[in-house]
Amino acid sequence: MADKMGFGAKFFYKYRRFIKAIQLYLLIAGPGIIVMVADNDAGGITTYAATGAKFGYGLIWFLVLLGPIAYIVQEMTVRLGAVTKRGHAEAIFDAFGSFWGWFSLLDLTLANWLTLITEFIGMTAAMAIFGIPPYITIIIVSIVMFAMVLQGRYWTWEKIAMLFCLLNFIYIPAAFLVHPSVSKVLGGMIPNLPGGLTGELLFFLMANIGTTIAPWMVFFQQSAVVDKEMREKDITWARIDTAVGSFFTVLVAIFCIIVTGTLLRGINIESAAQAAQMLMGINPYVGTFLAIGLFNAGFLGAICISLASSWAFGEVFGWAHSLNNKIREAPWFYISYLLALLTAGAVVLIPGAPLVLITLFVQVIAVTLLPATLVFLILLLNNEEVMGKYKNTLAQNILSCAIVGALIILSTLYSISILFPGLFG
Amino acid sequence: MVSMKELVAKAKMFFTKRFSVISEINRKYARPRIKMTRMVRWSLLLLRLYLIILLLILAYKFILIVQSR
Repeated sequence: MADKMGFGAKFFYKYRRFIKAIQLYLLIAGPGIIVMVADNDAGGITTYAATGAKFGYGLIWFLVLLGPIAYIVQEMTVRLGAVTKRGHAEAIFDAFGSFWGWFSLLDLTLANWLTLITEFIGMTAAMAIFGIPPYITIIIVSIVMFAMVLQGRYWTWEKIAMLFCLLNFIYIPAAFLVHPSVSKVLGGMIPNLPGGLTGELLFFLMANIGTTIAPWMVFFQQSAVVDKEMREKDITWARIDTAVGSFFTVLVAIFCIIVTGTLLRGINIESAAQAAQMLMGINPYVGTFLAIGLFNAGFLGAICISLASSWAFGEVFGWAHSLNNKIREAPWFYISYLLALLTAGAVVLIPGAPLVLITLFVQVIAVTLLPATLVFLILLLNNEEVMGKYKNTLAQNILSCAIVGALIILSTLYSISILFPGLFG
Repeated sequence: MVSMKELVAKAKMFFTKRFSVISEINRKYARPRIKMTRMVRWSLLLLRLYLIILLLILAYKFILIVQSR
């Protein structure tokens, strides 16, 4: 009897500990999941849709590989934010001086603003499938996005953003609706180069890498960690949050590839909206899901990117820059946020605006900032004065340096291949 | 009626105020706080070279676009 009681008490204790752990995780979860899911933005969904249509399930293994890579980079921003209590822009100014500080801030502003335009392009294209004119989409989206930050609490903003993250899973039911061959999907998990190592394959591999790590993600997550007032003791939970986020981002990408890889195999896709429109003719439900997913991807990307810029400006110019501030307390923070939204939305509405050129230019601009951002990240993480016992270990350094080196080389090649199409065959 | 001189003076003051914020930031972050070890020095040098090469590639592309028109 005593034994039985002991087992029951032990079980209850473990159960309570588990529930407590879940509760604690739910309190700390947010920045990691949001940044990773928002990484599947309008540009990302377009890349996955095009990859699936071109190579079927053949490159699923590559996306699985990209998950841990994204985690390793973002985990460093978590540690840096939690230990220094500073955003990435401020950390660069402080550690490397004003030259690199201004370079990073101005490049980030330009890259983010151009990316914001591409998010609006994605959202308006997705809503156009349902007959909603672009100006209505832009007005409503801007109002909703501004209202989200105006309520004056980081916590509320984060939970609303996480609700939108849930909508990103719409690709999962869409994939089940197309009845893919499970054995072929599993076959895609095994590393292979469909059609051999051609220039086209290389381009798609580089494009997928380009969508996995973007400079805004580093700035966003570090600032979010600071705004959430995370401390060193929260690092373990924030790591779990980032790992869960990177798992979700890969999961969504895989299901998106399954959809287009099943129904649009062998077709050259130029945008996710085009894929959604084509799918409408084959299976209206799947087409609708893809369009909703594209809109949501653009929306999530837009809220994170515009916030990343405003946070960075606030840090450097010394403005109040927390989502916990009311508009009266942090007017410049909110004005810069609104200005970014309105101007990016307005560009999409300009008749004959070079939107395709902007979409391509984003990659080129991002690649001027990515190496600097990642190199600064590693240098800061190796600074004992800044990081103390949380500095990178030798193993972390080997891994992160290899990843950052590969990211820089491949994203640069991708950017050059955009500038000079046909260079790689 | 505001004279041209007054307008210029007002504009000057506006820009001086704006630039004073930037000068203040430049002053605050004039000296990099990170310890300039050999690794940091080399990394920053390589970054500079990388950016210069990238800018040259962009300039070359720009010349190609202008020439093709």
